[in-house]
Amino acid sequence: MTEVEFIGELSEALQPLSIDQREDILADYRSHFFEGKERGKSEEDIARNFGDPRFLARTYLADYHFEQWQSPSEGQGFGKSMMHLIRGLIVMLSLLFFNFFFILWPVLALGIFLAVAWIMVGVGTLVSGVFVVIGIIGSTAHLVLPNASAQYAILFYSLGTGVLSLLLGVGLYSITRLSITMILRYIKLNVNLVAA
Amino acid sequence: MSTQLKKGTLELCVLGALLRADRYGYELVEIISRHIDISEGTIYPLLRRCLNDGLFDSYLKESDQGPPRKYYRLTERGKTIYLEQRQEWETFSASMNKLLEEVDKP
Repeated sequence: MTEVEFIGELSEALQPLSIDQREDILADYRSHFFEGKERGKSEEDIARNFGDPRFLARTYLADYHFEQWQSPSEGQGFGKSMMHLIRGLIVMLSLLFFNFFFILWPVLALGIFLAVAWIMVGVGTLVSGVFVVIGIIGSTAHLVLPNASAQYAILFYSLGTGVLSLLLGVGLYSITRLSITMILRYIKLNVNLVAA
Repeated sequence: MSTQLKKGTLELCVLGALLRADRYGYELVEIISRHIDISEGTIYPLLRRCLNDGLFDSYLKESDQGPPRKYYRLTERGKTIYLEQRQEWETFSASMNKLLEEVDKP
């Protein structure tokens, strides 16, 4: 990333601030670029050391909103103060989960898939369980089903689907555990990133 | 050094670097990164926060080459806070060293 690109992205991400505040912040970075280049560093190297300008901007935005909340500017009502508090918290959260919106949809899709799969396994196990019981009772007491071959067929099929459901459940259990581990690892990574 | 430890001590580094002389941003980054590996992006938001908290103030000074530089100067309040934090750090690191020596000896 060149200096112009870096400053442009930072400026863009600092939009909520007033022009004065924004220019004040940008001046720090412009002069850092200048000093770095003076010492023979490339614009790319300097920009890389700063990290993502959008991420950088959020640390300023969080500070700004909390400041506005704590010491409101002239004529700022209670509602506006609360807005700053809420926006500050949102920025803090987005700092914590930088890139979070990038993974939000895949995570949501995975969640829905797992939920549907669990319901299917649950229903499958339950229904085959009921039919196993019907098969056993029916074949011994001739209460539910009229002839023996129908009873054995039902027993056979329901045992088959029952075992299959349980096996799927075991597989699903490992997939769910793996997914949760991965998501937790991702969150930890982000938390460490913010602490840096 | 872990990132958490670094973040907490960066303010102490900056205040310490300003105790004997006023310095500009790039200089501060150079001084600190000579000893610890910091992300340069963390320093300017920190400087701004310290300015707002009244730990130091800033002024512009002409430089021989290029645009004027923004110098940071420790305020009385900043000096007091630095000396307090420095004392805390000494006590903490001494206890920490003693503790580690005691527990990791065979």
